[in-house]
Amino acid sequence: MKSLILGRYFPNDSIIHRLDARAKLVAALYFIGLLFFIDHGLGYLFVGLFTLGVMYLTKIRLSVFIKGVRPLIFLILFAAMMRVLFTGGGEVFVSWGPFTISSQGLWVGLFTFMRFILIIFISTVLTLSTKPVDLTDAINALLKPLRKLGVPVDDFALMLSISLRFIPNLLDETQRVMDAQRARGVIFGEGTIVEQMKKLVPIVLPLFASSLNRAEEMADVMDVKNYQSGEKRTHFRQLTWHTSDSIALLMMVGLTAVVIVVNYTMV
Amino acid sequence: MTDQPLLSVCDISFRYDITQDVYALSAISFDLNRGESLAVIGDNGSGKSTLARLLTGLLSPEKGAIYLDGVELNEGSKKMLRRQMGIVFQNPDNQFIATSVEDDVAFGLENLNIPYEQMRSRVDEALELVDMYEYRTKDPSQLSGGQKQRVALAGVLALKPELMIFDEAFVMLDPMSRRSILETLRRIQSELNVSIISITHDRDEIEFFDSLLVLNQGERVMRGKPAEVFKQMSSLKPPFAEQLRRDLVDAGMDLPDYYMSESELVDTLCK
Amino acid sequence: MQINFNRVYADYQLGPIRSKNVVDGISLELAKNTFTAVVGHTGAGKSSLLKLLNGLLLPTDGEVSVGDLTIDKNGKKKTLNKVRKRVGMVFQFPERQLFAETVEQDIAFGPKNFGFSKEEITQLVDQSLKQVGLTPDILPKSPFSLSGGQKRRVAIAGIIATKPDVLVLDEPGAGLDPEGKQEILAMLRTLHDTHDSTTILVTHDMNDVVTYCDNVLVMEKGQVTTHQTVRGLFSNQNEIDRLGIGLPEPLRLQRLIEEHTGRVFPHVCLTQQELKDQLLEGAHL
Ligand SMILES: Nc1ncnc2c1ncn2[C@@H]1O[C@H](COP(=O)(O)OP(=O)(O)OP(=O)(O)O)[C@@H](O)[C@H]1O
Ligand SMILES: Nc1ncnc2c1ncn2[C@@H]1O[C@H](COP(=O)(O)OP(=O)(O)OP(=O)(O)O)[C@@H](O)[C@H]1O
Ligand SMILES: [Mg+2]
Ligand SMILES: [Mg+2]
Repeated sequence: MKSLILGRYFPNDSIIHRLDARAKLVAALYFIGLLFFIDHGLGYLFVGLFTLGVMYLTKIRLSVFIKGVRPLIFLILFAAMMRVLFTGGGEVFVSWGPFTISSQGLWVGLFTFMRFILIIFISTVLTLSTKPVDLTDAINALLKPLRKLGVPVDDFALMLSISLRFIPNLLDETQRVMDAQRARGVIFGEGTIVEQMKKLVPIVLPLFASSLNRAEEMADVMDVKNYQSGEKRTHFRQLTWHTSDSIALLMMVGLTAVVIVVNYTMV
Repeated sequence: MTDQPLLSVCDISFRYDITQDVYALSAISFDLNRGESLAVIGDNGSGKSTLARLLTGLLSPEKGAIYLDGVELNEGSKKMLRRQMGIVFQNPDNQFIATSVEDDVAFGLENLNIPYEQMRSRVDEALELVDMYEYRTKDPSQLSGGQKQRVALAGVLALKPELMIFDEAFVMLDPMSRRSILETLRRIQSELNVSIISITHDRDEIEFFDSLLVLNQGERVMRGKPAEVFKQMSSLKPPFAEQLRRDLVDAGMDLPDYYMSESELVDTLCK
Repeated sequence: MQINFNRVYADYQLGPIRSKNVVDGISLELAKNTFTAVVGHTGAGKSSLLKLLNGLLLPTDGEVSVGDLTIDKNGKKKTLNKVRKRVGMVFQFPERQLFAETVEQDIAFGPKNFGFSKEEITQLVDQSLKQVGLTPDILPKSPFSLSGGQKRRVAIAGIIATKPDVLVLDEPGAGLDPEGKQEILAMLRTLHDTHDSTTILVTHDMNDVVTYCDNVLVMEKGQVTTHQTVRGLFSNQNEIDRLGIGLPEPLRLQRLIEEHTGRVFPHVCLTQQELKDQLLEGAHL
């Protein structure tokens, strides 16, 4: 439970931490989009190095990022395998029914793998270096134009921030319930599947009850503190745009240029 | 200002399950003046938290009515009336909306459309008052129990409401901090003329309040100055000083036989 | 059972994200059969200290030993489970952890996990129910249908049913009305005396400290600032001022009177009885 990194904030003082949340969010989304246009190994090498550079700049140890990938690694490998097996072309090494392992397939598999890893790395950079509140504010700010169309942007942002509030809460609560169970002799992660499932019941029940209770009480607090959906409210968090933020976005343009050049010259 | 009470509770009754004849509160009435503070005491399950929820319009009374500033609290008026009140609920774990201490304190102010500069100073001031300023960027879920209660309190102080309601909001504080926070509240009460309702089990907190409301199984047993309440209700556990005075009288010491606050007892003993 | 902390450090690590030490180099020794209060300001690390005692929080450095079992940063599951059998832990608001359909099942949950036999369990359930002052007619009821005080008792019964040698409680009286609180604490003291267990109680209430505890341990910013007998601590006003802890009500009143008259009482009064006796003897005159 404690090893879940994606979505956690890691307080630190670095260039990346100091960037404006809007700049980071836009850059990260753009970067992820860009990944889908790369179709050459060299392009992946470039964006890979870029990602490593950004990770280095956060002053957070590499092991933290690696741990963030670990829970998802099987999923990624599975996706990459599928791509390998279902893609033909180039030199064919093995062929079995609808499945083939070909040189083309291996490349595509590798690209898929890289793409997933880089997506996770860059989103981890985003969440580790940006306070959840800043992130929701950034989303709020970026969606602002939609408000003219009658989209409840503020509600959406608050909903998001509450979910961000709720997830660590839920994890902490789980921890607390599990601690109480451990103190009463439950050993987690041991025994047969059935036994392990049985151990979940005394966790899930209090967790369910307390989550319901929590949701209800939080709603009460919001109510009493006069939160009204759709109504104008001021913002305590102020986002400020610096030159470094513009530079970050310019780097995205630069990266795009590199990707385009690689794609068209190396075919 | 007129001399009508700030809060007027008229004969309210409430039950959680309307199919059953069990009332969490029945026929409760009391008034609270501007600048007056009231401690609510009563055993577990006597309806104290239910009362707090009714006062803030989270529940509606089945019978009777609540008036704040002469306006009846109902669906239509509750949004407006809530601007004048702040509450800290019993469970400190479930009261945080935002992901950092200062954002949480600011949450209520944001909803009231307070401009940024003013918000900043009110938040800082409130956090200083409860001695949590250095924790302002922390995640509230990672605070100890007492720290959480302080932050929740700051959230109400920043609002500067006319009526503050605290539901066992100080239980997780150590005695020194509790006394100092109660003293701070009393200062705010007289400086800003706010009214305070505090639900508590701690009899030694009572000396900080002007009067006392005693509930028992959903019924109002008594409302009055501590002296009156403890004189009439000998079965109710009194604050320590009064307990001692009774003991001394029983042992034959020559003391007047009426309720005494701590300072009165000390004065009398030292005469 | 003897408990030792040997230069213990601990923090709340979130994956690889470290926080500052919440337990900061604590060494201490709790002798067998003692009843110790742990007091200190909010955030001092009291709850964290308790968690270290049964391996719910592992030291980042140093060792905690309970009898002949030792917990260090590697905390083996086997050892931890043995420690947890020895150390019964009652969390803050333990009633929030109740989950079983009936009171009986809830109390039996711990003993079952620790491998007691069916007959033993039935007997343990009955016995612990009696110890917390409840009657058997409550056994088939749902724990959720009980009053606050009853729930608290059931939760405590569920812990003492595992027959721990060490009982650790985090503010067991919080949120209870004065009668309920007094009953529970008195019950804990009786339990301690009749079972020769070692008891550790976190509390904010100095009256509880002087009424029920033998020793007191004061914490501040992750460190133990003093560990001595209750009377020893409260007899030393300089020490109390230095530590910044509150006084039990009788002593606070005594100090007020002394301030008023300028005359110091011959004895330090920790209980109402003591203060009454001193006043009857005219200590304030
Ligand atoms: N959400 C609810 N649904 C049904 N019954 C409830 C609910 N909340 C409280 N009650 C019942 O209403 C009665 C009064 O409860 P309330 O919480 O107001 O008591 P309290 O005086 O605040 O007690 P405590 O000192 O334990 O906080 C109790 O009998 C309780 O069981
Ligand atoms: N789950 C957690 N994650 C991170 N930090 C925590 C966590 N729990 C507690 N802390 C921090 O550890 C420190 C000690 O907390 P602890 O709960 O041990 O204090 P305490 O003495 O029990 O306080 P209280 O009297 O308020 O219960 C506090 O500064 C707190 O902010
Ligand atoms: Mg209540
Ligand atoms: Mg604690």
